[in-house]
Amino acid sequence: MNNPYLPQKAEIMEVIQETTSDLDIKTYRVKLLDGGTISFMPGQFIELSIPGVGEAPFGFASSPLDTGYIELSIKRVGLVTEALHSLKAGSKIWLRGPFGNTFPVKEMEGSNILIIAGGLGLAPLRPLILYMFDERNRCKYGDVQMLLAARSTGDFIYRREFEAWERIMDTNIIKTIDRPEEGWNGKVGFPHILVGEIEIDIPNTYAVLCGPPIMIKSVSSRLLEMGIPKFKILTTLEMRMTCGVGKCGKCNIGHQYVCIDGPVFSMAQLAEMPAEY
Amino acid sequence: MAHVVVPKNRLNELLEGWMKNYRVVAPHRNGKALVFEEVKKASDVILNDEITYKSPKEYLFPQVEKIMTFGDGVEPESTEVRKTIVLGVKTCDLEALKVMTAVFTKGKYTDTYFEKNLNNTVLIGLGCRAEKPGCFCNARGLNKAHSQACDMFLTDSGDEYMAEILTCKGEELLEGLQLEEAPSPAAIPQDDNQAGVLEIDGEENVIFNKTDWASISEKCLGCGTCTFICPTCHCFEFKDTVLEGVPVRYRCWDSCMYPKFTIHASGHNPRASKKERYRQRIMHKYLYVKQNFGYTACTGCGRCIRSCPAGMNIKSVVTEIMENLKNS
Repeated sequence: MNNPYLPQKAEIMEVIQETTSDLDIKTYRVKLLDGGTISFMPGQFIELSIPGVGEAPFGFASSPLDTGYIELSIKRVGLVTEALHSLKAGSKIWLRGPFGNTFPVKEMEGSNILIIAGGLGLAPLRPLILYMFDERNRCKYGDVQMLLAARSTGDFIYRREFEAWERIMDTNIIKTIDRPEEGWNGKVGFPHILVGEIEIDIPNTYAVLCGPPIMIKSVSSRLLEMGIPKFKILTTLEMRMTCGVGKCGKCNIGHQYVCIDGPVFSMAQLAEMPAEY
Repeated sequence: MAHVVVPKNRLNELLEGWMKNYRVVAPHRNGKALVFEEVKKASDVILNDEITYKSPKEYLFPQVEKIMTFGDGVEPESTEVRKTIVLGVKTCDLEALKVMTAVFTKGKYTDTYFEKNLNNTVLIGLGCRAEKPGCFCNARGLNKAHSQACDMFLTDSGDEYMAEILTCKGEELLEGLQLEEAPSPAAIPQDDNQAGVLEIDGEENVIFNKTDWASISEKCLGCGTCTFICPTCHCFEFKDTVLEGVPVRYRCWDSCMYPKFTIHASGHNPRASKKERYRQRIMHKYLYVKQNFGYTACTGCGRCIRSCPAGMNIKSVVTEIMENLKNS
């Protein structure tokens, strides 16, 4: 039996500063040192270690079709992320994974996709976006609409890519910030309000959302009111996942473990689970 | 499998033989407490009807275990595991190890540290005669006098032990000892359960939402003693440190009774107060493990009841939950 706790050594290839606000989010492009690849599907996560400091789980943020590297977008917020943010290209870290379930990309084929992300919540959805936008896959999905929310313009992650995403056929991006800013020509306001303004082909749409718990709760109840069925509203949850393999006992919601039964859940599943996230 | 007779006056001879090839862990008097410890002399072993202060779970799942060292590569620790006999384990603790074995070895992933310890351990059970204050294994549907969740099970019958050999590992320990076969396989002592098995029989969301967890957990201090002393509790955290310049990772017991158990780096905590944490403890034991692995993760050993400084009683709590459910 393989030891599921042993990480592999990896190297940081590039560090990209994402935010220009007080929220410090960086994207790390990393590769395994032994030349191996980490194959994953959208929705999965990985455990990242910094020796002597600790380990923490992060959702993949890059395309699952890029096999030469993976990307992780990480906010400086705790012990491991603080240490990570001091590392530069060439530094070594350790990885183990992938873990968890995936977005149901096969089931979603043929449907329109509505992506709703708040702040760093866009990171775990980026693998799905890039997977659908790949030329081999784009024809399998209908319209892709995105409602991307951030506190301020400086808080948007991946904004360098938005233009390229918008140029892709049948794709529409609506950006919104919490408060007006000079020179901003996008929307102002919270996503649970703005979602009502989007034209959605209700019977033929999968909504995928990620953001702070309050956003997930408010947006999903709005989408349910609008008539999107529970099983077609998907989200990905964050928990303190120490082991990632269903043993350490930290990430359960009821009898389900976010690390192995999730992190992707539909609102149909969450409605059956105790409200403990 | 076979039943043999082990005369008590040959027990020391057996133990000394085993000690040559195995680490022998057995009940041993440490101060006032009877605890599982490595014993070096046969005379240190105490096989009686007392229940040990702690279960022997730490010999399979140590409280603190170095699991890896970081260098050019990452090296798993404890590649060499000592062959160990754990002797004198009562039914409650044997059944608890079944629960822990399921959690650590079933499903997609296996905890290789636990598995290695388990594979190198020979478990010798010992029948219990009387329930101790706080014990409720009978209410949990166990037979205190007998269990087959081990490699060999001993039943005290006065001047001798009746040994039931249950696995090859058990058989190996008695090889060459010329022990007599039991004249007729002894009748398995029964432990009739009159009151019915104590379970939480209800739907997860109903128990979660309809129980007054705040009032049930009011007395609880959140000290976590119950989790450390519980033979089925298995939750853990990784702790990293640097030893003489070398980064290492430990795996340490953790407790769902502590606020930091579930706190996110963002500060968000899904179980922010005591009532949520106490609810987790009860529901994990009586519902979640049962749903995931088929066992209720409470064997009625009574240790949490005997050790709780605030007098919390899991048996009364479960009874109260079921009564409330019936009345609602």
